[in-house]
Amino acid sequence: MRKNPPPRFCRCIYRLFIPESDWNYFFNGIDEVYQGLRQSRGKWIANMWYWTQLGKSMPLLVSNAIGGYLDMFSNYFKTGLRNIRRHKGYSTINIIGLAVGLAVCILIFLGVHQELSYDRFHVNADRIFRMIEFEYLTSGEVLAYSQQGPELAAVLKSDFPEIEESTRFYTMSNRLVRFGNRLSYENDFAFADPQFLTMFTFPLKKGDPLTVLADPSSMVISERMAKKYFDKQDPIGKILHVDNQMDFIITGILENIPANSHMQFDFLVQFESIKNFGEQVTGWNDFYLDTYVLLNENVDYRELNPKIKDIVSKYSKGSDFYEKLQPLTSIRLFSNAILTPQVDGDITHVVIFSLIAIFILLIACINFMNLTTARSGQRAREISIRKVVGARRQELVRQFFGESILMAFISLIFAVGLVYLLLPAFNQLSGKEMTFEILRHIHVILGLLGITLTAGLIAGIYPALFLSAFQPAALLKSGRDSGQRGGGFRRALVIFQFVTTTVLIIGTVGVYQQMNFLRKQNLGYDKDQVMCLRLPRELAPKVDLIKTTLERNPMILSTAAASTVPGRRGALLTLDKWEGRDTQDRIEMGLVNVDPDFLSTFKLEMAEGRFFLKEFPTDKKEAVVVNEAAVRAMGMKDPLGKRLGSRSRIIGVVKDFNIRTLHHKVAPLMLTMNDLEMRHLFIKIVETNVPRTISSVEASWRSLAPEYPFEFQFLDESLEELYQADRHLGNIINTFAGLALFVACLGLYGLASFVVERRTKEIGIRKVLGASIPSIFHLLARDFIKWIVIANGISIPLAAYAMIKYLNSYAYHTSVGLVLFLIPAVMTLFAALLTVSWQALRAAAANPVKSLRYE
Amino acid sequence: MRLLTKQEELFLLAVFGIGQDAYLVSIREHLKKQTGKDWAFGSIYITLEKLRRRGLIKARVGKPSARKGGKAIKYYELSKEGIQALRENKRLHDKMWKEFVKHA
Repeated sequence: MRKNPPPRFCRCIYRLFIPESDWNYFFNGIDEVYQGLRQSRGKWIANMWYWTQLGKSMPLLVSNAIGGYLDMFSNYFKTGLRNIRRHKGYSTINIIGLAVGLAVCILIFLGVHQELSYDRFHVNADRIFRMIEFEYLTSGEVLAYSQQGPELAAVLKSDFPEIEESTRFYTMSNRLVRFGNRLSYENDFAFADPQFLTMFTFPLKKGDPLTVLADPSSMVISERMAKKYFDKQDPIGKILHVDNQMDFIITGILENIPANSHMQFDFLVQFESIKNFGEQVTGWNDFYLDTYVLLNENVDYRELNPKIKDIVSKYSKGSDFYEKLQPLTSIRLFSNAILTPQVDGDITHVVIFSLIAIFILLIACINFMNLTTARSGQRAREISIRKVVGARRQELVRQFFGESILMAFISLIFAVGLVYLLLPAFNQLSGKEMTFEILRHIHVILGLLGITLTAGLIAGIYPALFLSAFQPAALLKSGRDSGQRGGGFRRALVIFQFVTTTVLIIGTVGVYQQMNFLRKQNLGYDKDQVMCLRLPRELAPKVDLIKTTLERNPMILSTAAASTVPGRRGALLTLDKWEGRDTQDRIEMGLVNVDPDFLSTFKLEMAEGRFFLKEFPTDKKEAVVVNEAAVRAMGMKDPLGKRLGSRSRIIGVVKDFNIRTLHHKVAPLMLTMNDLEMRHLFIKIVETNVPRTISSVEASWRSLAPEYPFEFQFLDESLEELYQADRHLGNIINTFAGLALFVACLGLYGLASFVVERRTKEIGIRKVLGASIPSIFHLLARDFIKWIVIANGISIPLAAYAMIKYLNSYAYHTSVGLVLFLIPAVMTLFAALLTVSWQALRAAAANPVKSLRYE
Repeated sequence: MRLLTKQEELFLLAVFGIGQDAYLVSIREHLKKQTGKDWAFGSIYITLEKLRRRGLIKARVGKPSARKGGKAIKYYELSKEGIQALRENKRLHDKMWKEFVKHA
C-alpha cells in the first residue's frame, strides 16, 4: 500500500479540514477504494478520481470548517454555486482567468520560495558567514571581492574567540577524472578543509562527516558521480585518478548538493592537496579562495566586523585590504556589489517576478469584478427580493464575498492541476529546477490558501459594495437595471488590465531585441568555425608538436592554444607597477596566455607594434601584448617598449576585442606567452562539410593522444551558453506576458458579449432602419478600441522607463526605438480587436427579426 | 423532536442497515447501491461527524485486522437517540403523507 501513494497534495488539503485524530481512519477508507481503482483502472484514472472526490467534498469541507456560520454559509455557497451553474459562460471565463492567474502565482511563488530558501538548509545557517575582502580606491569607491589568501582562515580562528570554526573553499573546473577506462572532464571539483562538512550541512549517504576528509588523499563524491563512475559498485575505498597525477581514495558519498545551495560541487578533497594543482597554500597576496567562518552562538556579526577589519594588514605588512563578514543566507541574493566567480541571483528579479505575479492575479480579479458588475442588471431582481424579505446589507456583502471566494477556491484546484502539468515545461523554459516538494510544508499550503482567499476578497470587494447598495423599490418597479452604472469604473479597470499587459509585452520585446542585438554584435574577433578542445596538462608541453601534426590536416586552417576560452572568466592580475605610473590605484587586468597563432586564428587586429612571433624566442620571457583598454587604464602615451611589472616589455597593442561577454565592457587585458598553463586548443576548420571535418580532426587527435577523451565544443555555441540566463529571463517574461494577454482578453471577451447582449434590441432596430454591418461593428467595437489606445498611451512611458533601466545593465545595448513600442501596441490592439470582433460581428450579422423578438 | 434532513435520514438508515461493518467505505457503497448516487468521501465523513456530534450515532475504533491491511478502522453505529430520532421522523412522515393521500 505504501508503494502507490495517492496525490500528496490532495491529502494535504484534506488534512486542513479533518481533525488530526481522524486522519488515519479517513485516509484508510479512501485509500482502500483508491488502491482498488488504481489496480483495476490504472494510475491516471485513480488519481483523477481522487481529485474529483476532493472537488466534490470541497463545499461541505469548507462550510464545515467555518463551523458556527454553517447554515448561513452553506446558503451563500449554495446560491453561489447556483449562480456559477446558471451562468456557465461567465463562470468559465472567470474560473479560467482566475486559474491562470493563480497558476502564475503558484509558479512564481515556487520560484521565489526557492530563491529565498538558498543556503537555509544548513543547520548552522544563521551562524555561518563568508569573508569579504575590500579595498578603497582613490576615487572613493570600494571594491569588494569574495576571495582571500590561503592563510586567513586559520588566523581568524586562532585570533578571535568569537569564531568557533573556519574553512577555506575553492572549486576548480576542467579536472580530468579517471576510473578504469571511464574518464571525463569534471567541472565541480572542490577543495576544503576537513571541518567543512561539520560546519555546513551537506548530508553524507556514506561516511562520517568528522573523519571523511581527515586524510590528505581522501575524497568525497556526490551520489550522481558515484553512479557515473562506479554504477552499481560500492565506491568506498576505490581510487580515482585526477589529472593523471593525483590519486584519491573515496571515503564518503554525499547526497547530491541541493539546487538551492550557492556552493555546487561533485568532488570534495582536502584543501592542502591543492598544492598539486598549482595553487598556493600559504601567503596573503595570492587571493583566490573563499573563506567561511562559523561564529559562536549569540555573537552579533555586526559587532565583530570592526574588530576583524584590519586582520590582513596585521599579518601582511603594508596591505591595504580589509575584511568583513557576509551572512551565508544573503549570499545568493545580495552579492551584486561583490566580485565573485559564481553566478548569483538578484533580489531585483525576485521583486520583479513577485510584482508580475500580483499584477496577473489582479488582471484576473478585475475580470471577475467587471463581469459581475456588468451583469448586475440580471441579478437586480434577486438582490431586491433578498432586501425586501429582510436581508441586511451586511448579509448581501457576505453573500457576494462568498461567491467570489468560492470561485477563487474552485480556480485554485484547477490552478494546482495546471501547474502540476506545466511545471516540467516551465522548468525547461526557465532553466530552473523547481519541484512540488515544497508543497509538503504546511506554511506553503497556508500561503497558497491565503493568496487564494485574498484574490477572492479582492475580486469580491467591488461587486459586494456596488451591488448591495441597490435600492429595491426602484429596481422592482422598473424591473431591471440597465447595467450602465459603474461603467466608468469598469472602463478604468479594463484600461488598467491592458496597461499591465502592454508593459509586460514591451518588456518581452525589449529583452528579445537586446538578445538579438548581442548576437549580432561584433566581438572584435572571429568566433565562427572554431573548435575548442581541452588540453590535458601532460600534453601542454607538447602543444607545438600537436599543432604541427594537426595543421597537416588540409581541413584545418589554423590552430592556436591559450589558457582560457574566450567568454569565460580567465585569470585576473592586480597590476601596480608600470612605467610612467602616476596614480595610486591598481589595475585589475585580465591575463591570458597565448601562442603566436592566436592572432591569426581569431583574426585579431593590431593597433600598434607587433604580435608574438615564433622567430623571436625572447618573446616567451619578456614580451607582453596589451589591448587598447589597458593602455587607456594605465594612462600611457606611447606604450611600445614600456615596461610592465618587473620584467616585461610591451611589444604591441592589440585592438580591443571582447574576451568576456557583452554584459561587460572591454576590460584591460594582457597577453603573455609563458605565465599560465595552456589548457585549451582552438582549431579553425574549413566551412565545408563540417561533420567530415570533425571526424578527421578526431582521427588526428586520436593518433596524437589516444588516452584522452575527444571532447570539443564550437566556440560560438560555447559563447551562446553564456547568454543562457538572459534567454531564460526572456522566456519567463514571454510566458507571463502571453498569459497576461490571454487573461485580459478573456475578460474583454466576457465584457463584449455582455454589451452585445444588452444592446440586442438596439442593434435590431438599427438594422431595420438600414444600418449596415460595418457601421454596427464600428458602433460596438469603438469603445473597446478607444480603451486599448488609452491603455497603450499610458503604458508606453512606464515601459520606456523600465526598459532604459534594464538595458543600462548591459555594457552594450540596443537603443530604445519606436519598433519596441509599436509591436506590443499593435499586438494588444489586434488581440483585443479579434476578441471583440467575434461578438460584434455575430451581433451585427444577426437577423433583426430574431433580436427584436428577444426577451 | 428533532427533524432530520433527507440526507441525514439516509445516512442513519445506511449505518443501521449495514450493522456491524459500518465504516466509511461500506457506508459509501451501501448508499451508492441504494440511491445510485456517488457520494464524495469528504462529504460522507463530514456528515457522519456532524451526526456523531449531535449524538445520533456513536463511533468505535476497531482492532486492526489483517483483512483491512492491518489498519485500525473507525466503525459507526446508531445510538439510542439515533434510533429514537429515526422512529419519530418515520411516525411524523407517515402521518403527514397519510393526509396528502387522503386529500389529494
